[in-house]
Amino acid sequence: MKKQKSISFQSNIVALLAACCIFLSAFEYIIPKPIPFLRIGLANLPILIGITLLPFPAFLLLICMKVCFQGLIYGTFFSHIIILSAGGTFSSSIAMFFLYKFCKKYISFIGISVTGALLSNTVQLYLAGLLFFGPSVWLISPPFYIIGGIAGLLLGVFTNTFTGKSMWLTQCRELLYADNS
Amino acid sequence: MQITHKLPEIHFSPVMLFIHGFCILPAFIFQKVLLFRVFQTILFIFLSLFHASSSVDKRKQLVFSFFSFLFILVFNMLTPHGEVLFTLFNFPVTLGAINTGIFKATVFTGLLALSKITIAKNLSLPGPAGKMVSKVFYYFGELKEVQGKYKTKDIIKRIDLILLSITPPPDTGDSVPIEQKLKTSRAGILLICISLFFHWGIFILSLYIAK
Repeated sequence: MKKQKSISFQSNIVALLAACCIFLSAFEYIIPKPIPFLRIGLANLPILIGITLLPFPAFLLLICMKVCFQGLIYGTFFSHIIILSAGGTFSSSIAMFFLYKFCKKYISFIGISVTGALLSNTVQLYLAGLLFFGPSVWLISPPFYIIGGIAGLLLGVFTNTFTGKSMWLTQCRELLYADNS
Repeated sequence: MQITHKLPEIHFSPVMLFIHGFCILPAFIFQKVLLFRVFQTILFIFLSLFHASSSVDKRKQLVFSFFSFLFILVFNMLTPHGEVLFTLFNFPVTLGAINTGIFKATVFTGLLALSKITIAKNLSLPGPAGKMVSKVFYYFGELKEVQGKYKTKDIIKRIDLILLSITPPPDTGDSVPIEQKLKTSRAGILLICISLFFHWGIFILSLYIAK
């Protein structure tokens, strides 16, 4: 019974974080971009928070929902761009998840977030080269890496502060892990 | 206590509203003719007013839509591209930037209004996947409602208060609050058919215009 309650609470947390992804994606959509396809990655914030709360299957569900809903908001759901978005999100999120699980003693959220951002950019540039632009895509990589790195750094700083201060996160952790023990 | 229903709740079931919104979503998102897109956005904003609970709520909604439209437009005009229309304090105001601004502003305000029309609080889709989608939209609606409620300068505290206010207690169970099952009336079905024909009609028309 306790486990059942914990699973339902967990699914509520997944849905809440997915809703935050939609909200932040919609907010990011209105910000003009100097380079097309370039994103700050505000919607990665719920993913970074999800790492600390969710087990791997629930975390995968959150990533899938983020990709789908983001595709719907940006209007890229039925286009090739969703492949770039999915590739970047899946690779970076899974890497960030395992970095947190196995190396959290040695690396802060800043390191995790910057690694995720750089990995996401690498996978997206590789896929863009493979699908649309060819090898010359690497010529435009410097601004992508610079902006991605800065955005990753800022998101990491924010997550570090949030995870240290948040009452909500503490409460969710207590409810999720107390029921499991 | 007597429960008063809003007009959409009398004629449409939450599931039917969701299906209707989901069906017209591609006809709005992939609309390339700016004039049609603006018209669709105005229509969505007008229809979303029926979902407001009071006249104050309606006024708030209109002001929010207007200012978010204006804000996105002005913000996008800061990246000039295309033909220069005029200069304002030595800053070039370009046609390309205005078009991009209107395009993005309609997507943002239009989708917000469409989600208001489509997602009823008591929406419950069948199956585990449907249940999850219902929950996501429920929380999205809650986030939209409470985001302006907490006024504190500490952004972390503000986010924390918002999340604490919408997170359900652990014993809530697997579903979001559901009031009662409502059926779509005949007039409701007719209105949904007209809406589908209209939105897909102008979408097909836009494909001919684009050619």
